[in-house]
Amino acid sequence: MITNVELKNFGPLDKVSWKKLGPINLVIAGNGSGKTFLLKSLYSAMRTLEEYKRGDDQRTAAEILVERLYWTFQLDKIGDLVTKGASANLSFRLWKDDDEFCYNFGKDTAKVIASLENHVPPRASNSIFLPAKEVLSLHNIILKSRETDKVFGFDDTYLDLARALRQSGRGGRNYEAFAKSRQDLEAILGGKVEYDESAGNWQFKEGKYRFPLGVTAEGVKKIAILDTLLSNRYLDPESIVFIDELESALHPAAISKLLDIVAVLATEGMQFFVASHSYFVVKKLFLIAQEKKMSIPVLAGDAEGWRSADLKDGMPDNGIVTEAIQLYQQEVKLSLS
Amino acid sequence: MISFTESGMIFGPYAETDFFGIEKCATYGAIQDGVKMAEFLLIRETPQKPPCVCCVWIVEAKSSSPQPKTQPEFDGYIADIKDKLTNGLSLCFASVLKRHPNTLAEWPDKYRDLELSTAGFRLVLVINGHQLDWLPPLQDALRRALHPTAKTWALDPNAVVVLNHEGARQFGLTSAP
Repeated sequence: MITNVELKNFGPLDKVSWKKLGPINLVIAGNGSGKTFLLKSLYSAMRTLEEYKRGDDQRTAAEILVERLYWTFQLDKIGDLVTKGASANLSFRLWKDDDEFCYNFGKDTAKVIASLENHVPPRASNSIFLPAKEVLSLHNIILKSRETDKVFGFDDTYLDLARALRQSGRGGRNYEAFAKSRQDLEAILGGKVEYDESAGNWQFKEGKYRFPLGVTAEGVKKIAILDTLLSNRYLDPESIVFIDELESALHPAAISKLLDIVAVLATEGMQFFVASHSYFVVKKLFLIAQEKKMSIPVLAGDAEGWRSADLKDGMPDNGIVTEAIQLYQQEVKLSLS
Repeated sequence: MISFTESGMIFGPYAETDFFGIEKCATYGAIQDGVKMAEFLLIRETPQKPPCVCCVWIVEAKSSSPQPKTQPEFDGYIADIKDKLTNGLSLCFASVLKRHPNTLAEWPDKYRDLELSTAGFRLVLVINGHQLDWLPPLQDALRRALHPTAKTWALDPNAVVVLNHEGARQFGLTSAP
């Protein structure tokens, strides 16, 4: 589990220090504040750690990281990730359990990261990043764009997800911990999403009927992705899942159900990082924290910077909650003034 | 002027002509068996919204409320408040229409002269000490429960309001201790 992170001069994030992380972690802030950037920076680091020394891969951690940063953030050179006008280097530190992984580089860095320290043992589990946009309909386009054409457009989070979904289910029993969650996900879906090898596309299966995925709702595709990754065993109880804008394309009732499933998976060992601007997401996670007496660290960003809190201690003071209260106050004023 | 303490808050001061303690009045005393009632009625002039010259606030005060996560308790609480506010509205209409002639005299002139067809009505719940961020869902839940009442009597869509002690003070319902 990632336990602490510290970023300095990383794109829009001039200084972020987030400690005592938990099984579920929430990032909330306005548009353009760097929520997705933060999740991608953590994801790049985790994928570096997961690819390092895997199988016959002989690349150094620094070589993997350069590729990861280049294809995730898609800039001319990775030095462009350094905050504009910053006098110091970009600095990234992450603690996986008690082991530190850190690196730093300056704005002129192109292909070589000179300063990198890795004390995290190699790991067999996979992390995944679920972007705000759905990928099932674009699955083949993403793979062609990145694997054949090798062009910018779909970053590594999309490519990794498209590849992870392509992975066929392994033999043997599924993780017992996931069985109930999969049933719950399929209950929300009202069916199953399956890849049709002969047709080369994803289809929605409801009873004995099959529909092209194009006619199903965006939210269905989103939930189907998680179901597929649990069923094909790409994810295991040690995986870390990054979910950007969990609420996008989901009805509030589906958000609640999905977060209940996230909470169950988190108690089984998986770690989640969720970025959101939704009142429903914040409120539902607050209730989960209260009901399960679970620490849910939250990092809230606004014009004054980033502040950390814990949903176990109450609703965070931030723009999302403030806006909900403001709408209420506006309504009351309209009625009583 | 009338002031009183209820649910740990000091309500008032209100002009005697504007206030009617409906829960403690003789009209309610004669019918109260099995009928829950709101705390009091208050007439507020709304000159800025012609032709509606006055607005009747039907107020219920509470010192606590369950949170929406405790569902059965929450639903029962909402149903209870809904009954009190709806019955307060009905008894006000019934009295102005002289359906209870024996006790009509206890109603202030402003109520007896109320133009029911144009008067505004507000159904107001005040909860002492309630956390600000729990008010929006509570107001939404109460609005949903009172939807049939609001539609039947053609009340404003925003006629149902939930306030905490701070909101009550801000809108002049209560005064500082």
